[in-house]
Amino acid sequence: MPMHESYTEDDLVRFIYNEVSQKEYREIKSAIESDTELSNAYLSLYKVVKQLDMLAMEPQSSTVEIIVEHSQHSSHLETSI
Amino acid sequence: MTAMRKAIISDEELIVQYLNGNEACLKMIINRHKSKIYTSIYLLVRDTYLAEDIFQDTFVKVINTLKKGQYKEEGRFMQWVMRIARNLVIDHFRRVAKLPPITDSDGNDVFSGMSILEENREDEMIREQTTERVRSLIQELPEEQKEVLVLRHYGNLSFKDISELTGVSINTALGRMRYALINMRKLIEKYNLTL
Repeated sequence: MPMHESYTEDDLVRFIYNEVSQKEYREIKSAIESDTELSNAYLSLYKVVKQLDMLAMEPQSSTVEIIVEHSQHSSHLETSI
Repeated sequence: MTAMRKAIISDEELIVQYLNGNEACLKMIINRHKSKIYTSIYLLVRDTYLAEDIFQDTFVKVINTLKKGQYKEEGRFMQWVMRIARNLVIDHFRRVAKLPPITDSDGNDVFSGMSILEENREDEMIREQTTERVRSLIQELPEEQKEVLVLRHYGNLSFKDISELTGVSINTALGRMRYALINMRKLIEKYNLTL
C-alpha cells in the first residue's frame, strides 16, 4: 500500500528509526515535506514512537549493586589464584 | 567537564578500562543502558521481580564473558547484551513451560516501588499514569509485534539484528513493527487516551 509514489509505511518506520542511507534520508524527508498524505502517515507513526519514549523503567539500585559486587568478587577470585 | 568526558567515552572504551581493573567503568556502562535493558526485559516478562532477576543474570553473564576474554562484539555492546537478555527470557519461559500471560491484570501495583527521578508529586503522578497507559497498551499487542517493538524501540536492536535473533526476514520484522505502531495508535484512539 504505497503512501507516496515510492515510499511506504515500512519506509517511514525505517526513516523514524534511522535505518536509511543518507541518500534515502534526504529523499524521504523531501517526500514527507511535499506530500500531505505521506506527511500525515509519518506524523501518525512518529507520535506513537514519541509516546513509547515516555515508558522508561529502571531496575532497583540494589540490583545494580549486586552486579557490581559480583564483578568485584569475581575479580578477587581470579587474581588470588 | 566530567559529564562531557563521560559522554564521550564509548562502550568499548569503558569495557577496555573495566577489563584493565577500573571497576567504576562497569557501573558507568550499566547506568548508561540499564533503563532500556530493564524496560525491555520487563515488557517481555511482565513481572518486576522476574525482570530484576533476569537483568541481574544478564549482567552476571556479561561480566563473566568479558572476564574470560570472550567478548567479540566490538561496537555492538548493547545489541550483545540485549541478545543475552532475550535468551534468558526465553530460557525462563521454557523452564516454566508457559507463555507470558496475555492480560495485564494484577501486576500493575507492583510498580509503585519503582525508582523514579526526583520530581514533585504532581509530575510524578502524571508520569505514573502515562507510563501505566503506555505499558498497558503495549501488552495488548500480539506477541510477535510486541517483541519486535520492544527489541527495536527499547532494546535498540536494528531490524537486521531482530531478523537474525528471531529467525524472520528483515521485511517481516519491519512489517511487524509497522503493525505494532499502527495498532498502538488504534488502541490510543479506541480508549480515547491522551498520553
